[in-house]
Amino acid sequence: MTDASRGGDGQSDLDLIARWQRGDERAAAELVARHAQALARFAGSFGAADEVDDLVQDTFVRAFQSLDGFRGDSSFRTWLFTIERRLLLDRRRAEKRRPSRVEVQEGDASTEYDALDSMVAGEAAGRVQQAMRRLSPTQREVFTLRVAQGLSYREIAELVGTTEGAARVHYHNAVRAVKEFIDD
Amino acid sequence: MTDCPNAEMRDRLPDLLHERLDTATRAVVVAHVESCTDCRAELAMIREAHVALVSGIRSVDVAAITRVVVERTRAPQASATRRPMPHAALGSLLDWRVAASIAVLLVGGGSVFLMRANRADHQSTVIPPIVATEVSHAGASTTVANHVAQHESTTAATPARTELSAGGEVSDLSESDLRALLHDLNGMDAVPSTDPEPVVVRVSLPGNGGSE
Repeated sequence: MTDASRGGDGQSDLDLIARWQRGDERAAAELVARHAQALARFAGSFGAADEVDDLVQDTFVRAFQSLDGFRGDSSFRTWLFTIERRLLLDRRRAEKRRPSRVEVQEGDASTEYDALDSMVAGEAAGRVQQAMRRLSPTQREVFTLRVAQGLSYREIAELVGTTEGAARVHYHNAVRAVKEFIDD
Repeated sequence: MTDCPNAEMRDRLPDLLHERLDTATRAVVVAHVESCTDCRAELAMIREAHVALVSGIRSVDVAAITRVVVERTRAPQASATRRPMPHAALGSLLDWRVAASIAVLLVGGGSVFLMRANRADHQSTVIPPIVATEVSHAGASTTVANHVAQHESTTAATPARTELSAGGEVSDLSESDLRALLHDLNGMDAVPSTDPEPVVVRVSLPGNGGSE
C-alpha cells in the first residue's frame, strides 16, 4: 500500500506538523494543500456540496487547534476525516432541531437530487447513486469511504467506530446491493 | 453481475482505483482483473460510483483556507516570534523595571537600617536615665553601682547612637534588665521618700530674741 500521508517532497504529515508547531507557516500551507481536496470530496460525497468550503475550513481549524491531541495512531487524513464527519453530523443535528422555513416534501428533494445527479454524473453514475440511496446508512457510509476516498478497512473502522471485519462485511454487502439494483 | 470468488482480489479493487497499492501488489491485482470478468465489472461499477460521489464537487480555495487556518490557529512559537515587542519599547520597559526595583530596595533597606539602629539605640540608652536616678541617691548598693558602671561603659562605647535616642522608658527594658533592676531596688537600704519634708520656719522678732 502506498502512503498517502507523504507528499512529493518526501516529508510526512508528522514532519509537517512538527514544523508547524515550531512556527513554520509553510508547513501549514502544505498540510492544507495535501488534504483539502480529499476533505472536500468527503464532504461532497455525504451530500454537503454546498457547504464544502466551510466544512473543510472548519475541519482544519479544529484540527490545528488540537494538534497536541494527535498522537499519530491513525493517519493524519483519517483524523481529519473523523473531525469533518463529526462537524457534518453536528450540522445535521442542528438542522434537524432548527425549524425549517420552507416545507420540503421528500419526493421533491428526491426528484431534485436525481436530476442533479444525472446532470453531473451521467446516466450510469446516476444509477449507482440511486442504488446507493437504498443502502443502510452504515453501508452507504462505509461504501463511500472505501470507494470515494479509498480508505482502508482499518481507517474506516477507526472513523466510523467499528471493527475492521465489520467494515469489510458492510462494504461487500453494499457492493452486492448496488450490483443487484443495477442488474434489475 | 456475479461476485468473483477471490475475495482478496475484490478487496483490493478500491485500492487499485485510488493507486494505493505498491508496485508488486498492483501488478498481481492488474493481472487478475485482466483475466476476471467479474472483477472487471466490479471495478467499472466502483469507478462509476467514485465519479458519481466526487463529481460536481468544485475545488476548494486552498490558499484562502490556509490563510484563515493560520490566522485562527497560529502556533504558539510562531505567534511569539511573529509579534515581537519593539526593541525600544522593550528597553524602556526594562529600564523602568530596573529603576523601580532599585527604588524599592533602597527605601526598604533604608527603613530596615533605621529601624535596627533605632532599636539598638533604645537598648543602649534606656537605662541611663533610670540609673542616673539610682546613682543620684546616696546609699545605693554596690550592685547598683556595678550595674550603672556597665551601662555607662556601653553608652560610652556608642556615643553617636545616644544622640538619636529620644530617651528611655521602663517599658523599653528587657525582661532580664527589669528583673535585675527590681532586685537592685529591693536590696536598697534607703528609698527616697515622696512625702514633703517638714519645714521649720524661723522668724526673728526684734526684742523677743526670736521665736519658732
